[in-house]
Amino acid sequence: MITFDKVIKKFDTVTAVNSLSFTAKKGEIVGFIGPNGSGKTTTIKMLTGILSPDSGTININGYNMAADSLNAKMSIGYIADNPDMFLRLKGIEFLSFIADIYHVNQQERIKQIERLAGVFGLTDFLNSQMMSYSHGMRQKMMVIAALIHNPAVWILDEPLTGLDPKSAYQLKRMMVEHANRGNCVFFSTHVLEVAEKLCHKVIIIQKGQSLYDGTLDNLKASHPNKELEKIFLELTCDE
Amino acid sequence: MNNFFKLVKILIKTTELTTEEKKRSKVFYIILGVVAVCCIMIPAAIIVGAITYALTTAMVSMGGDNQGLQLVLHIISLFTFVFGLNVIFNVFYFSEDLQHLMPLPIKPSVLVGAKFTYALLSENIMQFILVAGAFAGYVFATKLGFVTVISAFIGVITLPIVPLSYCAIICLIVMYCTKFIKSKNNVSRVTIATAFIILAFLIFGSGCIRGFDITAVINDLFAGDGGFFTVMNTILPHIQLLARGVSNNDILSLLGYLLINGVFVSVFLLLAKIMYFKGVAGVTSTSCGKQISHKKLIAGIKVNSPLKSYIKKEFIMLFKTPAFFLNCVSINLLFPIALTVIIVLQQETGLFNPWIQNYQRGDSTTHFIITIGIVVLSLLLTAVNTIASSSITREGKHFAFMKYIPLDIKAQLNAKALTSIIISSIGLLVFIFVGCIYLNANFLSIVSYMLISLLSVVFMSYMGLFMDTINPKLIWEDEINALRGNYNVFFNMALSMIISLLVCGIFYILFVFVSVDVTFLSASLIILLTATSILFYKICTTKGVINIEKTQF
Repeated sequence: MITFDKVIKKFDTVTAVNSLSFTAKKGEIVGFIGPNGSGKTTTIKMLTGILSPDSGTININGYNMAADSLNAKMSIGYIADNPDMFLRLKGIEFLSFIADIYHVNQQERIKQIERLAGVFGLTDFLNSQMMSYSHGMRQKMMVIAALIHNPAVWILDEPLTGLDPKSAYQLKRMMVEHANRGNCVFFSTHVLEVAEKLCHKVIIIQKGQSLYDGTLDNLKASHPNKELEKIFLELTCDE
Repeated sequence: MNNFFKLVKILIKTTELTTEEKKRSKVFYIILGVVAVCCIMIPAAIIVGAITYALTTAMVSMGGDNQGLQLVLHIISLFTFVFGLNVIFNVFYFSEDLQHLMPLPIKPSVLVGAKFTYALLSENIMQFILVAGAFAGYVFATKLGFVTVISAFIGVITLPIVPLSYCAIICLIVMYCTKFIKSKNNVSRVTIATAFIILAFLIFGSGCIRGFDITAVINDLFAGDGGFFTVMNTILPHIQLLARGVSNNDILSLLGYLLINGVFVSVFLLLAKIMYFKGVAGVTSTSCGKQISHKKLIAGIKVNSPLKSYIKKEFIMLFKTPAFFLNCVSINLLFPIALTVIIVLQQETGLFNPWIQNYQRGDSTTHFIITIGIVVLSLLLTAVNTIASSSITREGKHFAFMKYIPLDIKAQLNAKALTSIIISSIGLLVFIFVGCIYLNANFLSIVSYMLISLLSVVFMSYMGLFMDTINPKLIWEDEINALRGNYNVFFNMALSMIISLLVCGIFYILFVFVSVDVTFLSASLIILLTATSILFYKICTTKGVINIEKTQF
């Protein structure tokens, strides 16, 4: 469902993503892991069409991001790393706006808003301006907005940051259910335990290049008697 | 003291363009910077200087002194107060940097003093230039002495201190004593109401009731008993001293002026020491919405086309964000009301009667002036309200949203342009329609005037929008900084003035020297404005789209 093929992205003289390639297939939850400044957010921005790659190909759900960007974007549910968006809008106004942009019909949007707002405990706050929400509530609102059109591919940048334990649990459960329905979830995280519990495979990057792309079981097998944290530190250590 | 200077430096740095933003269009900014200085700053300073010069010459011939200079300085100070109130509230209590600054071991007086200095330096550049113009006008009309020059120089830099101190004192007391105002929205409501009241005071007090009778104004000034003049001299006593320092080459007056400034600053710093930390505690950005039933909430959900929904989102952001409402929207509502009030008040004096009679007699010069006036008013208003020229900038930190949603950039730019066109044109079209009824204009003229106005708005909206696609200012701490520190807004105003001058010049030549018929000129204007609107629509939806796609944020 996601093909990221030999993608390069440079900012002036700095190469943020260096000939990076990976795939995420139907039914997979893929964890995207790397230290700060390793190129995770740049990669996610290219996956979602926010940045254009200097070279390489990106396909989402069969659509090429360069040639057929609107269809590619229609397939994506994206949660950005910053939930402080359109804070002057009421929750319900924001969700209606997003539903309009993604062409969600009346029946479907009502069903999704009722279900997702219920799951994340936001039903009573939908008529308030999002500026009055806490960070966690804003993050939940971004999750609802990203999922309102029932996208095939979820691309989530640090989705669990700021969520309370119950909401984090709910989102993780939804990620598993989504993948089980034959869809794909691609998310970045710093929390290795989350990746360990959820992911079918992980991609570890450093300086814009892939250090590891495979299952966690294989990674652990190749580093016997070592904890995941230790393996990660060894892989991403510079020298 | 060290902390104070460090804080001021950091606060000013946060509103500057980032290195990345500066690099993007260096040549573009140099060119537009020169254009803005030549077309906005220098002409504005010359106008203020000329007014001061005319008033001073009149005063001196009557045996008077510096009353003209005082009047100009009072008006400039009044505007500083009106526009400063919202800025001071925002900078002191609602800026995002507070969450980082408050935990630091900094005295409240140092923190507030630094924020005050930042507001003084960053928000009053235009005022410094206007004050310089006023002093230049006065000096040209009188004589030059050493203390005159020193007083004028000090006055240019320090004149906003007292009006901004008033803002700061009001702000500190209000936030300390009241609970209701501790929301950003309430603050803006209060400041918008204050701005409206003061503007009304200016309209009614500016002498328009007497039909702009300049002789009566000068006589009042000379006698020193004009209502506006007396009130202002009581509120701002330092201006008399500054004017005396300039006019009489009097060092004692200058020292007195500086002493009053010092007293005002000391008072507000003392109040800051006592009140600031308590006032800032518990401030919220907004209040919670009303609880409505789930059934009612769901019933309110309606499906709209993406374009309509995008425009609706733009409207909500403009109307519900107080800084955007005050700076972008309110002028469109205020100016037709202000113009209508002036016209109604002038009915008694009959100031416009010759115009109306000339128009109804079919005088071509009157028709020409009205047609060109409509173009200039429509162009300037669309530029001044900054709705189009801040369209991309207003997205700020969530600019990326424009790129990841499945709605092409072209459609989004059109939605933003349409928002500007709708808000800018409604007030204009209503005013033109009412004016036409007042002038007893025929149907064809009404349609022609409205079309000319609408096309001017369309042209200016797409031009302003395109300007903002070139290098939007996407990093801002507070919504007001998105507009105040945005060069695109300023440059767009400069361009609107150049275009207005060009239209006036070219059509004046055609009308006066080539004797082209006014109906033909109107038709030419419609064709010209249609062509330029289409041209900028095309530029915006091609080059503008590329600009957005290239902007990396």
